[in-house]
Amino acid sequence: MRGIYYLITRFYVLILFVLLEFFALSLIYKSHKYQEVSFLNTSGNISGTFLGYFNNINTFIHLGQNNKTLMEENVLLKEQLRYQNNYPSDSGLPKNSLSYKFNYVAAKIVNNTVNKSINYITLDKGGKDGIQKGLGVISSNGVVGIITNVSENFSLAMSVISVKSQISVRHKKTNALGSLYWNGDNPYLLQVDGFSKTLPIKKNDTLVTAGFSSIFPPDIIVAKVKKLEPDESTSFFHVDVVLTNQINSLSYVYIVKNEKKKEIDSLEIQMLNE
Amino acid sequence: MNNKFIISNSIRFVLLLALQILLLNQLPFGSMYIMICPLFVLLLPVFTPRIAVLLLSFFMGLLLDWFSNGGGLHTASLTAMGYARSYILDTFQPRSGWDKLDVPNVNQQGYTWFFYYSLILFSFHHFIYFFLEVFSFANFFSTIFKLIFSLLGSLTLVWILSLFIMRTKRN
Repeated sequence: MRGIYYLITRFYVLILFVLLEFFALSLIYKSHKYQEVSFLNTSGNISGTFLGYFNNINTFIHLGQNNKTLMEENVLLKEQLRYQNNYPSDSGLPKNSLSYKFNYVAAKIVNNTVNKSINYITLDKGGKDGIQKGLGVISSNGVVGIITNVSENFSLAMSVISVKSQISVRHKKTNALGSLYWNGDNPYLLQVDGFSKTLPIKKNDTLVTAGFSSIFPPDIIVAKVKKLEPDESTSFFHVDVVLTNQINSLSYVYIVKNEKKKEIDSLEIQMLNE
Repeated sequence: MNNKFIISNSIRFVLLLALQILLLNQLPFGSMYIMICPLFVLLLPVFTPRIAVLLLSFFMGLLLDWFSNGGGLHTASLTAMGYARSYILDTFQPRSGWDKLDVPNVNQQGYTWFFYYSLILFSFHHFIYFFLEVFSFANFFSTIFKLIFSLLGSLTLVWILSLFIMRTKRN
């Protein structure tokens, strides 16, 4: 007994250090293993409100650029509207039937980083607005990420600039499929896997969302090919791409809600179980 | 005298945390993550109880993780640095030993001393942070590159801050 007492009085700092370090490492382990951050995240009410207050400055700095993207989006939407008005609903022509099942929720970015290996974006919409884990986040000219944590008033999206993120994309001209990921080096240069060397892929070609998953609507522009190198050991290209939206300067994004997501997911799970 | 230390260190705690969260975390440089918070642990008075240094660095790490989605990375690296600090201070002792009111800063210890002190502790902190971030030794060279780049950024900021703030304080 005296031995234990002696040990504790002699080494209490070391013991405390080991305990604290163990706690921190278990947090890291959890955030690496599962697709969500530990309880310490910015979707909490206190941290979210605090960061949101100061992020107004950031929003103000990017005001001009945001206005420009909004104008461009308006023009695009107006063109679509004119197109649809030319074909009245009883003409039998489907009204863009593919994107029918998607709803959008506009959200403001509260906190946004690009300098980690897993980057999270805090959004000011949460469970109260019907946001759930696994929903996609897009901006007016590109893909942003996927929701991983939700609190009542805020939510957290894992940015596509994360080593754990993977999104299926389609080469617009050839319809070839690939998957977009990030190798962790340069946050402005992402990589795409799965394009065969036989395909006529060129620099500056456009990549869009594949639309097979229930997360993102199809045909949303994602990235442009920046560099193309044939891989010598496999039959695929090494493709470096640049995202079409600048994630670090975004202020407003859309969260994509899929009305049929539950149905699709349960069907897929059923299939996996069989 | 004791109260003065507590007040100045509390102010430093809040200011450095705010600088980190509101400015440095939002910088759009991808391969450079400037971290200033270890400076708080560096500048605690020499005779702060070791257990207090440990707990303070742990809480600073927790707060940082909470406000920057670090997922425990800051907690682990800052706690480790807080533990290592007393050993570095022992090794870097002046010839006559530490005085009761000594603070390990530029003013009292001089430029060269502070240069090596901050270099060692910041390297230690950044090393732990970046290797825990990738959670393996895969991509060793790109991690090392990121580490050195960030370390240069952090240390430059630390030296600029200590030159400006501490010079004016002495006059």
